[in-house]
Amino acid sequence: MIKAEGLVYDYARIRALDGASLSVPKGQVTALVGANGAGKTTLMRLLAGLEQMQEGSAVIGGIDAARDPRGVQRQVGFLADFIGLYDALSARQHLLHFGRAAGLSTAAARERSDQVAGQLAIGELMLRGAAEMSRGQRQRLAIACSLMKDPEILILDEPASGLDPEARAALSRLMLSLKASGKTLLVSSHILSELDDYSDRVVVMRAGRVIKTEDLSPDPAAGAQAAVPMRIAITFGEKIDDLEERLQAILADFPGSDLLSAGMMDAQVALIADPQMRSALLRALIEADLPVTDFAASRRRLQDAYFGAPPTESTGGLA
Amino acid sequence: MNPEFVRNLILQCSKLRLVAAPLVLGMLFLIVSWGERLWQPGVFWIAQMLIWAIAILWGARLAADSVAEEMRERTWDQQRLSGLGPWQMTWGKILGATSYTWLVIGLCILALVVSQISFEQARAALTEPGAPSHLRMKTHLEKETFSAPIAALFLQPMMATFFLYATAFFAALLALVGQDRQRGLDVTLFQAVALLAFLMLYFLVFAGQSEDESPTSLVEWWVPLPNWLLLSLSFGSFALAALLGSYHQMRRAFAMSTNALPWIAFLIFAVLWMVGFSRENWDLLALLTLGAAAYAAVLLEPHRLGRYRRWLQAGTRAPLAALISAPAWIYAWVASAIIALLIVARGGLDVPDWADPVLDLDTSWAVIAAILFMLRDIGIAVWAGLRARDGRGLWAALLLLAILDFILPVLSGLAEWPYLFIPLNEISAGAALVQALIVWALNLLEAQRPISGPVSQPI
Repeated sequence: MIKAEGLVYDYARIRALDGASLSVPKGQVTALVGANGAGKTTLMRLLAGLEQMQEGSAVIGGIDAARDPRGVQRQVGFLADFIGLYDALSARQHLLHFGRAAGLSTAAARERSDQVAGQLAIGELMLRGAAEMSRGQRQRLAIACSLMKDPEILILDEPASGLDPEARAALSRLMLSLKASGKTLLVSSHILSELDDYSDRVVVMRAGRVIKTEDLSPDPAAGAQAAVPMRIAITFGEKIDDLEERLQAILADFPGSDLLSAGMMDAQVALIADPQMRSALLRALIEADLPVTDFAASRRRLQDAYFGAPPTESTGGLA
Repeated sequence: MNPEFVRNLILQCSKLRLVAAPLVLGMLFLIVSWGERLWQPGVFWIAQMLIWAIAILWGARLAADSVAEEMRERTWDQQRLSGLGPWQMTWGKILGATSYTWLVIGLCILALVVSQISFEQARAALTEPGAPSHLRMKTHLEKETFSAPIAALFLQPMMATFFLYATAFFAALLALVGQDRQRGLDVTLFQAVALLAFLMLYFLVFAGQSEDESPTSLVEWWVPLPNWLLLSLSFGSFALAALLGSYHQMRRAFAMSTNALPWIAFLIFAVLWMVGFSRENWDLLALLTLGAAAYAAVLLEPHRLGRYRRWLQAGTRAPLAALISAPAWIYAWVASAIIALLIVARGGLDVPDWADPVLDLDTSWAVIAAILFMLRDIGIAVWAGLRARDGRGLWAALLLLAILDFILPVLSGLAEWPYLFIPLNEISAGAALVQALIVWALNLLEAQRPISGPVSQPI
């Protein structure tokens, strides 16, 4: 859905993007993570058509961003880290304005605003002025505004910043519901655990470049790709003092497997992603009289992906 | 209807405000004319003062703030992605944000017209034999107040208001688009720019006036025109130019392609308008107009190294396309230089009577020196812009220009060696050339300074 190659962008004397390349698959939530100054916001603004790249190319939803930035602007919804709303307008007036601006008739804009308000659970706020809303409510309204034109791609820069835990949980649910409705999302955040809740992929940026891209979801087609290792989380019903040794002994019969971690009641195992191999391992654990209570393919955590990225000279590593 | 216009209309024209305007103004005019006839000059003067106060203090501010507010409230990105086009955005903002002031000004113009018509009717009635002599005297004394034709009463304030609003809006767009912040004083500054432009235009027209200051006195222009008509036409046409300039800037803000053709057209129009006042001095007036345009362009336009590099690269690939997409100051300066060469070719300008013979003034060399000093000043503004984060080092450039164009000339004049900083003769031209070369060499060094890489802070 988004494919960018070698993007370069300078602010006066500072290079913000230094040949960044990334791809964002359709219908997925891609997390964009990186330290402050890594170039996340600049990259997102470029992909939304709000800035023009100085070098490189970007194709967004099939449109060349350099040749047709207006075309890109029309099909991308963008939410900046600072939520910009007109304080004197109500939620309804906001939605009608952005609906009409997208070319809808007043009646169609009204209908769409009801639909979007339902999707974002802001129906009760429709008559309330933006100035009277909490940050979480303002953020939902801002997302609703960008959804009025029904964009295929949503780019959200730090959507969780400043939200209370309840609003954050609601944001996670909203991201999943937007993904379910077929939208492609590119989301940046400093709060990695939160991105874990809804992201399918992670793109790690450092010093103006994309240094790593990794899938986070368990591969649904794992059976078809038996050579790909997957991670299995196992939980036991009681403490086992010699768990690590016993698991090592069992895994010796499973070629390509590895014990990633082991405590006294849980462990993580890397195993060839073959369903038969998985059922054989479960059987072996039970036959070894281990009290297995949970046995499931686990997601690679975003934090692991981020901190597993190699440090670069310019940053001297991450804290 | 234009959604941006509707949005502004919702914000500006609430039902309460719509009722309040005619009510308050009606009461005000009623109190002023209480016990008097409708042609009481008080109504006329108050209506006129209200028009100017509203247009200058309120409307121009609203026009500039319609852009500044988007930056301040960080709504500009959403607007650019909303699907609205640059033309919709331009007129939707200028007219929408000032819609309420147009209503109030319209009511004041109505008061002016009613007041004038009643005066003319009363005056006609009082010429009848037997009319009270004190009233006849009163209408005679007040005929100056009511001397403007009816068309002037609505055309002049409407065009002047349109000019103020369009100029304030254009200044705000020029200064704020591409910036990620907006300072509190900015809107007042744009208001001041609009007022300054308004006063300049007003006094330029009055300088060409041949008779007294009444609205019907003739101004020698390309054709002699009553001053109210020339003022209205001038305000209207420059307002249109500011509107088109705003549209051009809006296209740039929307990342759409732009070129310099509207700017070139504006330069031609401004020169023609100016030369109309004194055809025999056409070259000097053209030089002054183009010079002022070059300074305005270089001070207001952002100067980004990447843009200059891309323009130079485009010049090698497609020279014609690059020719119409150069930075705006280049056209104004090149045109100034051409006019200067024409002046030199015809033997220079007439030496003014007040020129001090000790100064050894040679007008041909002085004109060349002026063009080279201008090139030096442009270089300084570009240098300040290249060093600024947003590409506009306006205040740094103004400070440096104030030193070079005011303080140093005064000091060098006091030291009885004015040639280094004042365009006077061939020595001045040589000094100007050296200074221009130094400044542009600095720019070249600035362009070669390496760009620092991104610096990431730990998460």
